[in-house]
Amino acid sequence: MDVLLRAHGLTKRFGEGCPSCLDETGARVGTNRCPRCGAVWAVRDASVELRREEAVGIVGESGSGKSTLVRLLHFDLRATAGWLEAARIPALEPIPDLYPKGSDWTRDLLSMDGFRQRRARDLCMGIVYQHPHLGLRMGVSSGGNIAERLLSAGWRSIGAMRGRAGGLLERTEIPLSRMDEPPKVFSGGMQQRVQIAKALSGDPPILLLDEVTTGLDLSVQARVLDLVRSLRDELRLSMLVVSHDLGVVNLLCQRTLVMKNGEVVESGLTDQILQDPQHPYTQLLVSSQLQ
Amino acid sequence: MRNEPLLSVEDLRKTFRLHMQGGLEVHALRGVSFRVDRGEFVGLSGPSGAGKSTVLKVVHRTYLPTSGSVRFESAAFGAIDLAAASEARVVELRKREIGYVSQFLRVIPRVGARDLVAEPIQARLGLSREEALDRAGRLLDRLRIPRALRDAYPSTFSGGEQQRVNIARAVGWKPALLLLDEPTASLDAGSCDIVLEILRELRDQGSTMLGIFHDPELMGRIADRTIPIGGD
Repeated sequence: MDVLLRAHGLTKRFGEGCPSCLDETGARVGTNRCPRCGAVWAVRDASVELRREEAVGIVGESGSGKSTLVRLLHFDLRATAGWLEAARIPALEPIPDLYPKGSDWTRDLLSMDGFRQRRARDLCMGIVYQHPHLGLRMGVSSGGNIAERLLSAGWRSIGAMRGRAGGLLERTEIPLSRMDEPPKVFSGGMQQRVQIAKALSGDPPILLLDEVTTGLDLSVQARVLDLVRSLRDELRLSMLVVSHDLGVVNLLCQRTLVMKNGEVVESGLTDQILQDPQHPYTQLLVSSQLQ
Repeated sequence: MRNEPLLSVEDLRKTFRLHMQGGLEVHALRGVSFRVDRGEFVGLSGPSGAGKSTVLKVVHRTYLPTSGSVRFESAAFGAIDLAAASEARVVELRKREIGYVSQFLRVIPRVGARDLVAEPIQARLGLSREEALDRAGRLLDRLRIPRALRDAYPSTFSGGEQQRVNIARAVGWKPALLLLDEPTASLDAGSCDIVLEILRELRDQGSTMLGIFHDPELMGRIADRTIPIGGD
């Protein structure tokens, strides 16, 4: 199983920081906010590898940094430190000079200019957010939301874009008859499915899922999870799955990272994390799960 | 093929440290060593709480060993210490070579029984979906899952039916090493016999088995030898 994406030492700090920060924040002291200067270390020194056709879960309590981590990988936020590289994959071939001569890895994507960064991102990953309004323009038709993404990927023919959008919406179980309606008139579950269709429109090998089922009622949640599971197998996707729900990562992910106060405190095979958790916080998390 | 070790466990120790109970340490395994040869069917015996399941879970790496080694002769990767192997390697081995049947079906919700069984057959034996479904169907027939149920969700099945689906899912792809954690615990005598017959056939086709059976008589019928676990 070859590595597709690797990130090392990812750090996101809000605020200036001070010399005491490193000692006074983190899982060991139980806060990500420096009591002296007030800087928040949302993510600190996190490393992640994602392999081909692998799903990796990221679990932890609210404020542990799991969504921030995914947003750093998606360039929604600018990292304070760390690097990110993608393997040599066909999806990224269209970008000139992305790979140093003779290297199987891209240059550091985090220190690249914004234009190339976004282009690389659009070609290799799609994201689905917990809140649909982050991923969709709620007043634009669902088909239009997808077309927007296709336009930025270089599509030009209206007919072809409509065909592609229709196919994706159909695959995510949105009736074609509703393609011209805006997501704001859809239910929460439908909005998530439009987001998934949009995220997959560029055929990315990597899908980032940020609490996609949080806040949905159980039957709707089940339908979205079933869709994600079947798309994962059918399109052979690699996925990073952020969830506070251990059941979700148990269903979808072979490996799982556990975060607390901005740090990755434990990582392992998902069944090992659930049945033989090592870190005190993971033991607390697993024992707090409703059966 | 015989007398070549497939699995060599050396001085395996497992201590659970329970942080929520004030750091209480539970010593589940205190130095277990044994060897399983290729093509053997080996049973683990001992009273409940002796650590039999713990041994299987450490070999499967659901539990992290505290110390010791678990040497596995992998067809794809050569000799590998499962106690120290990377997670990626363990994921690969679970896909290609090492199977596990627990006492409980790990149900994937809303997937029909035949699909559940066909999935690893298709992925691991490289068959077409039709062929895989066909094999899965025959296996379920043999395990006496009523045809009317074969495409229903196993979460709605009785305990015994679920267990038979579980077994079918684990044996269908013919793993090189199959770990069996009380696979027949919830089955009636008739179903037990069928399961034993299927396991025996799998062994005859070259699979190696390491298992726990709740009933010593059953263990005697199927295992080539047993290894006692437990005690200090």
